[in-house]
Amino acid sequence: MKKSILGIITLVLLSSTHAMCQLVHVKEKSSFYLGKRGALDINLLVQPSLQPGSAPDHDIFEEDKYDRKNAKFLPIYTLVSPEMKYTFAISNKFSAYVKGNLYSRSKLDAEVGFYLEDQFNSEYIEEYGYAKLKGRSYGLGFQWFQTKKAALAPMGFYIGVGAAKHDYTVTHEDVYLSDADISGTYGSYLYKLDNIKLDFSYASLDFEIGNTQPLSKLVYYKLALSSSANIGLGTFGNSVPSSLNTVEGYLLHTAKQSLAFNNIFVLKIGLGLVIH
Amino acid sequence: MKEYNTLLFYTMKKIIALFILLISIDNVNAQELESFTRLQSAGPIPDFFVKFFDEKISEDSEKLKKEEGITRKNSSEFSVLTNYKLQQLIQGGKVLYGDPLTNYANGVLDKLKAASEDDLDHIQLYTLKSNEVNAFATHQGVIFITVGLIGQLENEAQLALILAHELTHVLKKHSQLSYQYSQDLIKKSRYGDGTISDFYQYSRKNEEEADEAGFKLAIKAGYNTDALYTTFRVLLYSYLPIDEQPLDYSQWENKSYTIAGKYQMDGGRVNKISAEEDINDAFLTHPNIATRRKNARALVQGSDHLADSKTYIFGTPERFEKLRTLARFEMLNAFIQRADYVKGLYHSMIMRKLYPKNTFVINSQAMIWHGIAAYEARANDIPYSFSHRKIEGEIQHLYFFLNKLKTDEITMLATQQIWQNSLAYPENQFLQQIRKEVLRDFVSYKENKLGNFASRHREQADTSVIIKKKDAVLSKYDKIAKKRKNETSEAPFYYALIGIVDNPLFQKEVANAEDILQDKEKIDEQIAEKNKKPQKNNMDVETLIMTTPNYDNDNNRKSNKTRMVNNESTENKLLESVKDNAKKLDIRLSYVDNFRDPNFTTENYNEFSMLYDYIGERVRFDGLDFLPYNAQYIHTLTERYDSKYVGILSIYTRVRKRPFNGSYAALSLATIYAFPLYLKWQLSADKQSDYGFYIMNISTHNPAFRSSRSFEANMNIHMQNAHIYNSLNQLRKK
Repeated sequence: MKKSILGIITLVLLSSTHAMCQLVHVKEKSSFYLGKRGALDINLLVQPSLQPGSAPDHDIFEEDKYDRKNAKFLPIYTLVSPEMKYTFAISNKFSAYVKGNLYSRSKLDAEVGFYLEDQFNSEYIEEYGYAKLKGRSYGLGFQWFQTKKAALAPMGFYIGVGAAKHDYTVTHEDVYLSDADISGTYGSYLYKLDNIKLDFSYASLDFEIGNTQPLSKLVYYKLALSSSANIGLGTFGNSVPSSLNTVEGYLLHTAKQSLAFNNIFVLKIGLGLVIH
Repeated sequence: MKEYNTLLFYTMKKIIALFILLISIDNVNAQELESFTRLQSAGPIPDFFVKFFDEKISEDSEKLKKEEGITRKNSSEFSVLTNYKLQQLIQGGKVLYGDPLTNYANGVLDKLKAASEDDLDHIQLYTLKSNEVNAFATHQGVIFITVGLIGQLENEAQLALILAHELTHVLKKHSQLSYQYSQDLIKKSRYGDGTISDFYQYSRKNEEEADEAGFKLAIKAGYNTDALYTTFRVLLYSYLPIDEQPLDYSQWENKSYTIAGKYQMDGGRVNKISAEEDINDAFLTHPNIATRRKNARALVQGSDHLADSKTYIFGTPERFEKLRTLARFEMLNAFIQRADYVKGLYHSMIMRKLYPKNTFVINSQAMIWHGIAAYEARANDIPYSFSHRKIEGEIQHLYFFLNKLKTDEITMLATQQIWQNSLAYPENQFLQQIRKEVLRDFVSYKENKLGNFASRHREQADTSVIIKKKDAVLSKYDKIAKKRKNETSEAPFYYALIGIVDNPLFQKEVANAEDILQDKEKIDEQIAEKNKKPQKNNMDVETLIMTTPNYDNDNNRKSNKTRMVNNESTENKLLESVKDNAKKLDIRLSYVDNFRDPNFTTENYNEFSMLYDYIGERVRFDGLDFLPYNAQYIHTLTERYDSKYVGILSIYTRVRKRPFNGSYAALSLATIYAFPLYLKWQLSADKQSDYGFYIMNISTHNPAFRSSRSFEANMNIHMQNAHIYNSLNQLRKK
């Protein structure tokens, strides 16, 4: 009976328009999530890839080690990096965010020597060791919370757009070159390259679909998929313009090349706290 | 010492039982017919009502599992289903306990218990506020009888037989065995072994068994067999009103006006009463009346009659008659609740003949007329006003008459009826209120201008001499003229208001109603204009009366048990959530129907029962915007809780398995990378939630606020909590 009475009520509530003619259409006050509008979360960004070259924690020229034809599971390479994000609800539907994340790649094989025959007067040159790439990103943007999916900013299903600035540093320390024969066997002449430290930046346009769901009144988890379009990383491909025919030039080119598809598909898993 | 304590305990128990019995006898007298309003429960609230659902099912399914004839799996499922339905019934506020009807029926039940050799201490009996003629029992031993049943019975023996019949169902465990049988049948039907007719046959066998044992028990208790035997005729004709009285058209006529013949059904065309004793019962759960009678006759012939058998053992004919009248009064409430106006009007006419000055009957009849006029004028349809061809008995005339009337004629007739009563009872505030309401419909017809009536007066003046003459002194030609006048007039009901339209008070109130109508149109225009842009909130609700939240999870991927237990626990969480959020927002909250509150009393039960009726009515009338009948009682809540706002929260979630979508699967396989996404989509459920938060202003009887959303997602309890906070926050100005 209770159900039937309240069932009727719900039906009327959901269907009637004329019924509420006496009701003035009142502007909804923003209550946010339980009256709280600020949330801070820490996320793990997982970038999966089918090839080692585009998986950021692998040598970009590394060969695929998996036997894909006979593999039982789909073998993927991943890069995991941390992100911190602060979201501030502007209304029940919209929020602004600022975020920062760290990036690190320990094996950046610049294949520097291969292209520097003129500089080192040797027909084939091989290298020992890797340059390193580290970076930080800062981003801001807006999130549109989907009220159709029961969201109340800053909780619930959202679509986010924003921009980010990425600052990177390539460090090149303790890297040796040697001449090699045509088969690539190392020869006897060794050259130690000077330490190099190069900074560069680029921007990206970020797009994110995610869901923040409370686990308790204040703690929540986040699941999201994000994608970024990187701007300012130059041309793609392996051909190096002759103007870059220096160690620095090649390093920079390779670093940028390795980041070309960075953040193109990211899975975010996070935990957060509603703070105010 | 221990024996002494036990003795003392039983003595006390008997004294208390006697005390309750005395109260019950007093109750009949106390609830005087003339001051009748609506039946209310009395005495302490039964433990069974306030027990938590999960406690009930765990106790009950343990008992059931030990019983023979039902498997463990089915006993658990059956226990959940039965207890859940019972819970719904109780929490719907439609159950009566400690009232005169239930007390009387319990008195009769005690006589049967005393005559039985079985242990029947656990049997409980309650009355349902329903006009259906019905009684049923659950396996736990809870028997329900309806107000409609008592309203149709002729004597106590008939009630005794019905109760004895239900007692047998409990004793013979028919409910649980039927459930087991039906489940077995479903299994069998997969192999083509079982049919639905098998179930009906099984059910009829149980009913015959209940009739036989019930008859024996009632005879053993001392009831007269002839009186018991008459129960079957009550059951046979129970679909007809409480009496068969010809429709008296003169009640709407006055000294200068008669109802034209074209509005009256030809008596010869009335449908015959079709109830047959010997109908084919192959697809009925009960045997036909002929079989039941035959069985009873055989039983009576073969049994030893008690020399001093009686029709009344617990009560007296006078007391039973009084109780039946109470039931018949209460039936009016139920007709109005259901907006079953035509049946209600016929019922009220019967009651009015018996109690012409009874305020409750007068008010009910006025409300029914108001309802008929409002539905007809505002929705162009009177609920349950079926074609007279489908109706049997004398009430068919009323269906014919009301269906024949045009909308303006109905408003005129309703105005005539309500106006006359309101003048006759000027101290009756409800009638004065209803009078204003019906005039709103009256003036909503542009033709219903007083000027038009004045012209009718002039028209009528030609025949006034004829009409004012008594029939006895009319000449042949006068009579022909009068008859033709009534039959050929395009709008004969204009004459129904002759004598009323001349009244200056009527003219004043019509003018007021016209002003209100114009004002309302203006207000509606202003609101429409305002609604173009959302307005700032001007509500500031400091105190709020809430009904306990209603949650229903319709998830076909989960068992009934899981769903129903989950519903109960979620409702508890939502209840706490509303409390917490109201506290945060500084809103003083009172729950009227919180069974979980240890301080929940019968007074609360009656309050929320009335509130539910009021809300049910108001919602049914929503869009038509007319005064609920229970508006006359609702002010007690405003006074008691110091709030004019009542809140209702409902959340429904619907979870469905997604049907396999071949084209999506093929597409995702073609582009292999999309396959995991497809898999995720296919395996995840299709979820939907409906959230409704509704605030009603019970002093204006209008909605004050609503937040109703339909979400394509399932909300967890924390998100539900956040939405509740959001809704409550809208009620505060800050």
